[in-house]
Amino acid sequence: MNSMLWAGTVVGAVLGLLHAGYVYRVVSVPGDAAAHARAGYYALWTLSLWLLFGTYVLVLWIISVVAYTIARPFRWRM
Amino acid sequence: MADVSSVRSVAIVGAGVAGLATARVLLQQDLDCTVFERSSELGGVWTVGYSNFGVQVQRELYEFPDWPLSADSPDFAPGPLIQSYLEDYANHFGVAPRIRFNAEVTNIAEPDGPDSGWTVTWEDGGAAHSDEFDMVVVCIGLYSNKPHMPEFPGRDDFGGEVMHISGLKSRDQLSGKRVCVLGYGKSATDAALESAAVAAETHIVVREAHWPIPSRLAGILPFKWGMLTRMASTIIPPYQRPTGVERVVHSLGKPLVWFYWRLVELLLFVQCRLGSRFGSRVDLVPEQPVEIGGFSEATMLPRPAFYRQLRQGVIQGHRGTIAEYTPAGVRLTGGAELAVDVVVLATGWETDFGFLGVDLWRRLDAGDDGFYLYRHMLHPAAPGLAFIGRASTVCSILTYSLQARWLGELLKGSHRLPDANAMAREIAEMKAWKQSWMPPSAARSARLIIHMQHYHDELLTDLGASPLRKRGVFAPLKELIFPYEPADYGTIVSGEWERQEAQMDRVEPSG
Repeated sequence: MNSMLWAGTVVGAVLGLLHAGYVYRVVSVPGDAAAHARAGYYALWTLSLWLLFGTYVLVLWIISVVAYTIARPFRWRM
Repeated sequence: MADVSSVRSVAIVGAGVAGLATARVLLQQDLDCTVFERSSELGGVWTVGYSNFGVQVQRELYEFPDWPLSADSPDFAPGPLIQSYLEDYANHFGVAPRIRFNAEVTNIAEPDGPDSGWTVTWEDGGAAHSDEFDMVVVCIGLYSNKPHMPEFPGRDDFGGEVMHISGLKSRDQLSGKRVCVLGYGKSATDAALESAAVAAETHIVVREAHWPIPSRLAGILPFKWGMLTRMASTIIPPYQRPTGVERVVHSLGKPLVWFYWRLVELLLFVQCRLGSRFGSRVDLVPEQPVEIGGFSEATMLPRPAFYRQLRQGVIQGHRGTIAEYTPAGVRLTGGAELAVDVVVLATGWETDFGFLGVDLWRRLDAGDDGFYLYRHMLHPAAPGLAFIGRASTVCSILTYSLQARWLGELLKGSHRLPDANAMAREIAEMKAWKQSWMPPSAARSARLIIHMQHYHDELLTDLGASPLRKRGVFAPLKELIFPYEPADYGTIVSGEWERQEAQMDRVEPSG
């Protein structure tokens, strides 16, 4: 349980950093200091949410991979 | 549309929601607008409603962004209230005096070739008139007001009455009778409920089951929280130009997305009890996955009582369609015979763009999907002609209002169109994208449904406005999980967003 929590947090941190970088790039506007500040604020939120929910996402992803793997050969709901 | 800055006079065809929103924006820009409305009232579909018809979404999702419904308006507002709301809107923004009622446009043409201005021919009680305009904006929606009445053999032998849903003006018409409703859209379920209240028997014949959208998910959460958020728009089938995040979600996260939609199906299955066996011993479980079927022709939010009455047998459900009329009723494709007095065809409306003329129709490259347009509004082969309202979304009044603002700003010169080749390429890409996954329909070219968030973002980006409309300290969180609704776009549609965003930049937290 404890190791899953850590694994999820690490996954969340990695994905969160990537996602935060993406969000920063999308929200910021070159030469606009206020837009950069806003982009940083959005990026911070993005990283925080990934850190907070990384474990949940990882667990759900593992469950869904199992379900998807079972359903796929039968083309069920594909 | 080489030079839109020279546009001074605009003909708007249709005084429904799209036509009113367009006239409001263009009048604000001091353009000379004339609205042609074939009926004697404004309101479009709201003037030809059936008994007990109304809005199928909550109040806050069906209002102009810059003209909110009154606070005491109910959710799922009845048609007459919306009609009155539209009249208020038209009066407030000075649109009403610009409407020519009982003026049916019969032809629009470019007398001196493309990009030379338009001649609009219209009839007023039999007399034909013509007027010249720099531009024409067609605002008649996806369909006409001509009922779609499918023909079945044996009609002359049937002793009862066959009516289109638009002919059902009062439930008294069905009182004490045995009624068969054909269809499974919003109007069909409404008609079945009206019938069930007064008729001796009510049958509904469903050709193809599709996923209903409950007004409240699990009976608790308004559906907008599950459908109209950026998170939801990320996990539906990827948009024509998916973002980087969407690409990752639909590759690495594909099993998770797939699993999520199975949970949604389970929720709908349980909440609406779609597995119940009905009259012909079949259920109402759709064959298509919900994330695909949600983009089919008949997306609807039935009233909660519908499924309850179906389970109770007050409304008797049948899968199939009408094979033929019999002297006593109808025979269904499965062989079952229903003894009925009235058949209500809740089968929608015909498309009718006859006034565009053969040449224009050919230039629009219309096919089985309808015709595809750049940004769902313009076609490079028809400069000076625009369509507002040819984008089918969950929140149509918002979409039409944003389209109107986009067009208004284009005419003002605030943004520019790409060249004709780029527009044609964009149209071809959209056509290929939709045909690769979206269920076929006569209006597939116009269907966006819950892809509306992507579409609205594109329009705002074109305008130079930020697509991120949520405000406050929790704006990043709201962007993710809060639903987008018309109120979020008030300053965009009113044309005041530049000033408002400049002020926001001054007060936004600095990091």
